[in-house]
Amino acid sequence: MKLSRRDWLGGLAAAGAGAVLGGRSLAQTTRKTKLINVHHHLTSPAYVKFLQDNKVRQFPNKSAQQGLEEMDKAGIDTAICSIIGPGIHFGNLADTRRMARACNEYAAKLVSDYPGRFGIFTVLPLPDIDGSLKEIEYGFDTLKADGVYLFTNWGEMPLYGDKYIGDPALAPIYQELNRRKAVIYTHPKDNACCREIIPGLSDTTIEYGTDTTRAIASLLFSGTASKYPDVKFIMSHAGGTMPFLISRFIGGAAAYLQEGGKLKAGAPPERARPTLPKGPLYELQKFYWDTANAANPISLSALRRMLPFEQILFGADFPFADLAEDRKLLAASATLSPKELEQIGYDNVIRLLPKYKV
Amino acid sequence: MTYSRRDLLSGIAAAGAGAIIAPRFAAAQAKQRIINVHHHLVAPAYVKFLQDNKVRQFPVKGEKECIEDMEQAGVDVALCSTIGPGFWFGNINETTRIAREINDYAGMMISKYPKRFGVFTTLPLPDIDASLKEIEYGFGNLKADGVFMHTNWGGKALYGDKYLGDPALAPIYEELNRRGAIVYTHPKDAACCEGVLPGVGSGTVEYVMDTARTITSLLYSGTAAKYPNIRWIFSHGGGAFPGIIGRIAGAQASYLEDGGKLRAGAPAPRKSAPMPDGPLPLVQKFYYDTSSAVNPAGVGGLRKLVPLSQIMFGGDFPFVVSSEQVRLLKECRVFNGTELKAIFNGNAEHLFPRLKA
Repeated sequence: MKLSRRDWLGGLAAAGAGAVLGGRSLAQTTRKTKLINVHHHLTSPAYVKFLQDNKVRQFPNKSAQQGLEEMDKAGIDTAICSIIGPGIHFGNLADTRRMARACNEYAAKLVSDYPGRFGIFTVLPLPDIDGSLKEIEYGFDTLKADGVYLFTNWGEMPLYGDKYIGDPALAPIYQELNRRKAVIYTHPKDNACCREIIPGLSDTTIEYGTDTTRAIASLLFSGTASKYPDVKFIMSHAGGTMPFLISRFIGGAAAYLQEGGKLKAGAPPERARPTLPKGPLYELQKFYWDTANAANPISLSALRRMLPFEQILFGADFPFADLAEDRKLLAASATLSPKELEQIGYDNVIRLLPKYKV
Repeated sequence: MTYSRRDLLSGIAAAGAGAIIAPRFAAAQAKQRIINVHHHLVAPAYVKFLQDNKVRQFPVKGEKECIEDMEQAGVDVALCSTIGPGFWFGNINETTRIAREINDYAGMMISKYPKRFGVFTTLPLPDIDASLKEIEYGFGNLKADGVFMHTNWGGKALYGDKYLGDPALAPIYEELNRRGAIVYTHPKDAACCEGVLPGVGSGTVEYVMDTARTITSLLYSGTAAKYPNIRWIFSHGGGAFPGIIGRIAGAQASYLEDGGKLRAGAPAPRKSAPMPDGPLPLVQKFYYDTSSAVNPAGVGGLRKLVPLSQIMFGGDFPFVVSSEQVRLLKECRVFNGTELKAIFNGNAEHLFPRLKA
């Protein structure tokens, strides 16, 4: 797709406006929409201490206040919050439950301290299934959470999961989430299989994108996605590497994909599988996908060819990425028009989370 | 990318022609020369070895099926490599013996069917000395077109735990660099990831990831920059690699456009000791085949990552039907007629001058 130079300049001017005019409140009065970021990580002080006590890897420890400053600079109105890797399970379930609760309550306090600025994806104390069911209830009923947060991998082992989120052991959780028609936000973390495989290279470079792909494959081929049709999954980082594996997921039909994920005439039928009665493409196109860390024409074009535009959500990876820079790169990728850039941050989000409607 | 309606229509007409006109006439009229750089041979000795060792099943297709697959797809020349899971079972003598049998089998096919085949010499890794001997044997005796390396190697048996950027391979790369050799790579089951997803075959996710891992290993170890005369070919459109370019090239990736060019406004490359000019010049020097990436995301992404000259047709016999890969490559409409010609033969003829028609 092509954007005219005029579109470009218009888009850039609009992106710059918030910064020039000095902040959110003024920008908001001139806009009818909002910009909602579904990919915002909180590092609650209790979690930071927990990771430091357990000597886990370093990460950018930015406060909620820094988050707000970056949001203002980038013109982001609302951030739906999740925690960051490597996760909260260190082998002691009581600790895991306590940490999940502390993270969730920290997010809830921000929601009430800064009305309209934050939302919550409730983190679960996996691998404790009963504890997770309680936290789901607490999140939705007490904290008024927007959804549930699941890492792509999980398991009994401390920190590094060896199971994926299509695992049948999670059935009680999915039954409950399906009943509630819940949104599930997913995000990769370090896994058991693939730590430090390439010496000297951070696991985030390759393995994070891969782990999202594994989680998607796990949800599809285990039958979890089709079995719980009312659960709404959001995949981070534009699905990691998954769009580039589409021929392996849907076979020859992948050659027939066109803009918006429609199949042009002549596409062969997908291979029938008992776990996927409607086929893998149907399930893939029901998922939502955020743009964090994927602000390049290769990833974004792949998404646009694989699924309807409505499934794409704005994501900017606080605290790992600079939010304003992320927005700039998203526009620079020249894959979404200025109008579409606005839609992924608002229209597409409120379809999934109507409470943020202006 | 955009191309004219005329390009599209002529592409469709060309694809349809064979069906309407009698096949032989069509072959004489409109036959496009096709070079397939991704064609696996399953040498009988290798099959027996895998069966003796009770390794997983794979399509055992012999010489007859191989020729049929080529004829059906209109493949003129197939460059041959072996298949996974490899032949390192912990006994280096066995490994060296099987490597030679695999290479000699390919050598037999070349002499039995003149001008129809080429060979990428299989190496008996993890033995470095034996691999150096096999390189010499391949280029000297078999007139090989290049060397074949699986994306991973090492480990106790079968499932490699090292990647192609590992410094232990330096003697091999020094020799290959001296020769200006072509290295064809292909994924196989990796030690990390065997059975990670219950019920999902490793071909679905892990193969594609392993190619991304080995490319990344070559980049970040400095191997790609250190041995500039080696020409690398990656299978399956680079696997998942185009999907992680944002994590490798950073903000520059946002400015990529058709042919891997950077639009105005792109930031400076991420330079580092292993990649003195940044990752993109290295990534854009590699070659990629189209096998199993024949969709708008796979080859569509690839053409935004690298110049068209780096893309070559791959068929992936015996795992998929080559004629199907030819058809899907046309159907996915990522390339116009001229570009398809370059992918089917021009680019490969440039890399392998002996294959010029």
